[in-house]
Amino acid sequence: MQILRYAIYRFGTMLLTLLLVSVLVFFIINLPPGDFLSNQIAELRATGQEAGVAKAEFLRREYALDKPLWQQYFIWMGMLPGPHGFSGMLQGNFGWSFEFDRPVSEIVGDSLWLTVLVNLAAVLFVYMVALPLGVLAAAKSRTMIDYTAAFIGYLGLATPNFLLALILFYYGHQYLDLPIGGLMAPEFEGEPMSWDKVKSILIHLIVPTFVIGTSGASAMMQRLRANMLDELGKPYVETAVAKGMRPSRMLAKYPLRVAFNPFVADIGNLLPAMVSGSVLVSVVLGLQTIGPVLLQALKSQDMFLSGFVLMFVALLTLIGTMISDVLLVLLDPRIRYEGRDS
Amino acid sequence: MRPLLSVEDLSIGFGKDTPVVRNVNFAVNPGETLALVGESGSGKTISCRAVLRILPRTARLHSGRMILSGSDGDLDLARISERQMRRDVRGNRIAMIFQEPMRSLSPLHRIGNQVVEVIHLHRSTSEADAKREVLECFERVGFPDPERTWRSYPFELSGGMRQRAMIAMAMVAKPDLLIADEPTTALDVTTQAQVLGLMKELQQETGMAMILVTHDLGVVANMAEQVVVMHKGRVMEAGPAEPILRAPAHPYTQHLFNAAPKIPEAICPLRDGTEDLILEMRNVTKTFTMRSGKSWSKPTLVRACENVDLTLPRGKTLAIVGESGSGKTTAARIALGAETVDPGGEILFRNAPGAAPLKVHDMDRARRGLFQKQAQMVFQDPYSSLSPRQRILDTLAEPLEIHGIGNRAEHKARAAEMLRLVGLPVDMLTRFPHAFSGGQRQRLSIARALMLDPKLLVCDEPTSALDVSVQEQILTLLEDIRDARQLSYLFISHDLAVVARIADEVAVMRRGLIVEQAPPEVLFHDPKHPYTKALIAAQPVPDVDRPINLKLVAQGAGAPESWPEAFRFVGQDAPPLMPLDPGHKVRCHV
Repeated sequence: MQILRYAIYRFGTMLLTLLLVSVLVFFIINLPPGDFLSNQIAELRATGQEAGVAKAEFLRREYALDKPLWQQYFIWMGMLPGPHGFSGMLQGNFGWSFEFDRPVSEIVGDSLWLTVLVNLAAVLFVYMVALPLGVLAAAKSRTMIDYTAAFIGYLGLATPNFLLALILFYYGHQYLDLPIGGLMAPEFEGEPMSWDKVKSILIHLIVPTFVIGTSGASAMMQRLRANMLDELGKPYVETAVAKGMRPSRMLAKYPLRVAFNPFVADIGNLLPAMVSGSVLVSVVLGLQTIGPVLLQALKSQDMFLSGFVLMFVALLTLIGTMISDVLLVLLDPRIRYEGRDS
Repeated sequence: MRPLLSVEDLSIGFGKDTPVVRNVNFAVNPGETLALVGESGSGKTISCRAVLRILPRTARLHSGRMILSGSDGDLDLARISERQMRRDVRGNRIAMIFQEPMRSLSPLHRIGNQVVEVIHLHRSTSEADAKREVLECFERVGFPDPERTWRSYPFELSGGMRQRAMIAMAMVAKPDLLIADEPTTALDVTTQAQVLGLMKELQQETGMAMILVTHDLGVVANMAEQVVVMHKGRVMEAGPAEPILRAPAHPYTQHLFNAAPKIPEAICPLRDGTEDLILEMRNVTKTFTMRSGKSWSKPTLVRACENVDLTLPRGKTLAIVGESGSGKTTAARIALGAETVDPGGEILFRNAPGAAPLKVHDMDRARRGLFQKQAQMVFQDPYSSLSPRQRILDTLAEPLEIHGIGNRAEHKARAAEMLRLVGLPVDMLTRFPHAFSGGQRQRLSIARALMLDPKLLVCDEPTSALDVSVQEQILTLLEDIRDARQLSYLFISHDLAVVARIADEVAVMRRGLIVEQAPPEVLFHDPKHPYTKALIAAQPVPDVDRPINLKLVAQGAGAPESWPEAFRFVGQDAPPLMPLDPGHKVRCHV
């Protein structure tokens, strides 16, 4: 019950933080002088295309870009009525992309879910690789197993992701017949979900997951190893051995449980690091994720599009930290009972 | 009688170095207690862990047989397979409890889960039966509410209760032999007495044998039938406890005996009343606000010190004695101005006889700087109070640098002088702390405190982390320096025997209140307050004729309601601190 209460409380603070973040995001996307439309108008005027100017002026009014900045913010958020009444983020209207001349929701629609999918797969990969390797390296510290694991880990950390991507594509295609680039075969793009499409996506996911996940996995493996080594020196481990436990079971039950805390606490950091870290990889691998879209939008000052993408990344981060906080409370009674009388 | 466990010719070493345990022999008879006695580095802990083969990974068993006899034949614990060790010996026939109950239990698992695991590891018992057994065991080791203990996490229990949980964990499989590695060293003295009493009772009930590893001859006198004295990996003296304790034959055992702090015998004349007070604490109260984790519940107030009145005459030693949570360290921090006091309290410091008092509780920046030069502190743990990354010279010179005194050459000269004063060679100035033993580090810590030539030294348990023979040396050093430099000490300790030796006046604190105050001779020979009596009774003394009186301990260390009428609280209010004789104050109704 306590946990439910905490989760609700934590959700509340998350929403508050998100509100603050929205102010920051709006401020940041408005930092460069001018906006997409005023730039466009200036350009049109310079080239003498007066007809286009009228359309741009119309769009400016349409999206309240002629209003003071603070009003723009509230209209964007949907907290003040704009030219079309209450129609902003809160109402689910993410605005218009001037660059692509389409609503933002249409542009990001698919790539949003693909982003979540790719990153989720990468996070799973990180945990599935780092957990056993980290524990093994700690339990067999200062042996060949430890050194080998460390070597592979550092190799993963040190290799540039895009290089790894190219190498894997080449060999993956040559020996395993893995597809190159994209997140699904071209014929499925824009098609409704089907079993074949899912299969195609899964096969296409293999290389990106590996590429995005390796550095995270090796960093986490090293952290887990260090934590485990710390814990292995503690007296409660000795107590467990003196009870007559098998080493494998003892490791899993006692030190791993304790060393797991920072592991869980990392979820919050992992998500945003992967989203922003995967931008370059997405460009190189030709993944239809949100990364390349963000890059393009920032370059051309497409403010509603970039604003939305930034908000989305922030939301992922906040959800990540919330999940890790709630999990920590579940995992660690010391946090759970803080303040309870002993 | 055939011994239950006999260890023969045991040698253990690390790598290629000379063995740390050399040709050690000992034997434990069924139902008896064997005490392995020695100081740190004697190899006593390694020897007892070797029995269960729980050794550091780099340790190697060079030679030795460890025969555990049983109804179905003998086992050589040095030879049996790891699998058999796990299944039949560890936790089953031989159980072990460790020194630090705070850290020997997993913080993330419930006590019940950790204890019942032992049963499931060694027997196939149904979940319900196993739980019933554990609950019985909890009740036996003195948990008032076994069900609650089952559900508790270790951090919800006090140190003594955790050690009881550890004992329950060891006892639940009904072992033939219990190895206890300094089981009570980390506990308060009254708790120690109760835990030792419990272990003895359990032993009588179950008939198990015990190996008790300890540095404390007092514990040996109270617990053991057989004694093995170890020093630098070798057995110095072995045999039945009583003759050894009455008349130790080996010089090293005699040395240990002489170093053990003793309760003073003679009653000295009361000191004269000329009062040149260097430090005065008047009506000092300190309330801490404990913020609970939830923002909506009210914070609780904790009184760490309540109406403390203390005076320290120049050149004397005032000791504050108490168990953990008594407020003794808070009082010391207040005396140094490191802690504010509640309004109404005053701390006055007089730099020289007749000088105008400095209000420690109300200093500005400049006065604080002056005061800090006059009052310094020696800390408890010599391992963590010296920076491992600083050379000794830098550590010693730091106080001078902070106060902007002298140049580099003068710093060095002063540091060398102080090293000589505390009995360390001057060429150690360029070394790092890791090159020093615990006793040497504590000397360094004292040297650092003396760098500014202070008048008042606050010593916070300066010897509790040290071996007895080293403790002896440090106390002698502190006494010599005090007399040579006319220093005054405020000495904080939990150990009455240590205090008896060095103090001119002792204040006994319990939960923020001074319950009794007198010169040590008076306190030891005519204690009035039940809590003081409990502290004295709980002190294990290396004398087989003076066992711990558990009844006195239980009464005095318990709640005030169990005290005799004259000492009880009225509602929430403690009785006043009454002067019974000149120089002897007791908190009681007259």
